[in-house]
Amino acid sequence: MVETPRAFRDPADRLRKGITAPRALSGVVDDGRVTRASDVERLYRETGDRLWWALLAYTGHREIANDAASEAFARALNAPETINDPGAWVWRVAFRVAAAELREHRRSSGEEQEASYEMDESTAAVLAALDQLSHRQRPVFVLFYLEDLPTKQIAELLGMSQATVSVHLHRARNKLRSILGDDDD
Amino acid sequence: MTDTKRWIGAIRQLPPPDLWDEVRFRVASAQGRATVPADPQSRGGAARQPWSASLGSGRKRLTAGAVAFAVFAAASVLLWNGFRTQGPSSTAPVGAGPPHGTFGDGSVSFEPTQGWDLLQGGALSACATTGSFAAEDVRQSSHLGPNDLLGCFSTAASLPPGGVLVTASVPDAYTWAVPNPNFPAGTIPPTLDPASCGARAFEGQPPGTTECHVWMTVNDRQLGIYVFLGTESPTPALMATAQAGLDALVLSEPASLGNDIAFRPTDGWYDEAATPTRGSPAIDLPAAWTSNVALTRYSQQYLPAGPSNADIARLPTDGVIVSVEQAAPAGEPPPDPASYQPSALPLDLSTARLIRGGWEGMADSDVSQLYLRAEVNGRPVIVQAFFQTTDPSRELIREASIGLARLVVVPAE
Repeated sequence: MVETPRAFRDPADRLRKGITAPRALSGVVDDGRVTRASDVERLYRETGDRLWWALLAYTGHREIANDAASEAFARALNAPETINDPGAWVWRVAFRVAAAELREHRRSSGEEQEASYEMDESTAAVLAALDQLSHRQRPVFVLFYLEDLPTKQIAELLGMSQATVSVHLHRARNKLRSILGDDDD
Repeated sequence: MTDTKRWIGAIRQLPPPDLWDEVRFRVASAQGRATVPADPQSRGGAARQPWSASLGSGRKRLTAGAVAFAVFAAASVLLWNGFRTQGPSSTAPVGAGPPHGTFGDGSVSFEPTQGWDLLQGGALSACATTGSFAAEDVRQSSHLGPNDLLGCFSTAASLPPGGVLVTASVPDAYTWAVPNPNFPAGTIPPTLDPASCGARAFEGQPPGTTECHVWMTVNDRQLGIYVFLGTESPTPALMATAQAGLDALVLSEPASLGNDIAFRPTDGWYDEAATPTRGSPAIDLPAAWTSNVALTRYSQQYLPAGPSNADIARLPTDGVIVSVEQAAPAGEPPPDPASYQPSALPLDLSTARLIRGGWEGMADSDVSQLYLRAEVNGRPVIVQAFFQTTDPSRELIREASIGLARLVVVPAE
């Protein structure tokens, strides 16, 4: 997909304009009224960047992040009136789509194919370390540390118990400690 | 936490794309845009038999052996006399002989030991402590699903000085561990290595505690053990107490689903598994199939085992049947053995071939299947995902992948 520059990108711009980014799972429409297409677009404008970053951290692949985010918002836009909480819904769908595509990608390509994607060393190091986590640990870790979601919301989003989220989070921390060293407190 | 948040926050240095045009494009072309590209050479509705190890295709021509096998298989098919509607999801294998290998219940647990309190976290996890368990952990343990894990972290956070907590878990009750260098082969009881222990070693570790870990593969299970000690300076006596907790660990062999090839049960899917017992090695092969709609119970009235053409023909447009069958008897190579590449579970349909149209015995031409061969745990298997459409959507293929992800294959002896 050809990317186009985006003028309204910096979260700080939003703050200057008085738009407060909602928490990912709270959504922009949680007052009981019917969700409209304009709500979905507003959700995208307010949370799309954060969703994309989270998907990138989860999958390590720009194309999968693009596709999963696009697909989730497209599904929401296709039938917005059927969705009660579009914020939570979109994130849930996006992570499911990303999980499926990640499986397909690993099976079909085997190796990383991000050579054409420029990124700085620290970002590449983060993605490489996250890639060492299991497919269950990684989304939990990303949502906890990048999105700052509590384990209860992660459990709801990923469809697992809160106890299981805690176990995966604990294991992810241990594995990253063994990879990155012990100096992260 | 701050440092980890800063560390992972480097992701946000990457400028995100504006995807809104793509979103609108997808909405505008929502119907029929996401399909698996068909193999051009498989167009034209070549005769196909879902039970056969050989398949008509321009890409891979039938070998003489495969033709012989197909003819033999077709000649072996017995007409089944009607079908009846199935009720709730069925998981018991029909016509299955005893599966090979050694089985347990797939669980991890601790033997009751004087001075230790135990808390079971479903089949896959368990905790043991010299103190008492936190109420939150007890509450969580009673609300776990079949694939959930219990970490007893609230107990870890409230360990008294000199207290010990041992937690252990395995990822699945039914599957056999794939080799993983992080989980080297080990034996029960595990040995606690002081080198694995640390205090204030990482974020989230309760203050005033030491945490140790043992990762190992034993009884075909990848076992993760974490030991929490209620002090930052454990004494040799406390380490010995912790080792006593590890000594009480019990780890079962993987559980059996009653057939060498089967699907792990889950809500909303209907499963069948069978190994016919007709006395013919070429037919008495394990197979399993699963669907998101009710299936006719298999009764060995048609062979080899697999979903019936009637079930496939009755699929709704959003229905799918995923079938997995062993392609050759143990110890014998399947036709075209090179096409069965060693693969780990879960298998993925992205490399499968889309074949449109019916096959011999299938009157309905508005069907298609994704076809895949692989060697799993030493068994050559044929995977077929059937659809009541010649152009399965990406959502439909994902549904099939979800079904296939529950596949369990007992390692060949």
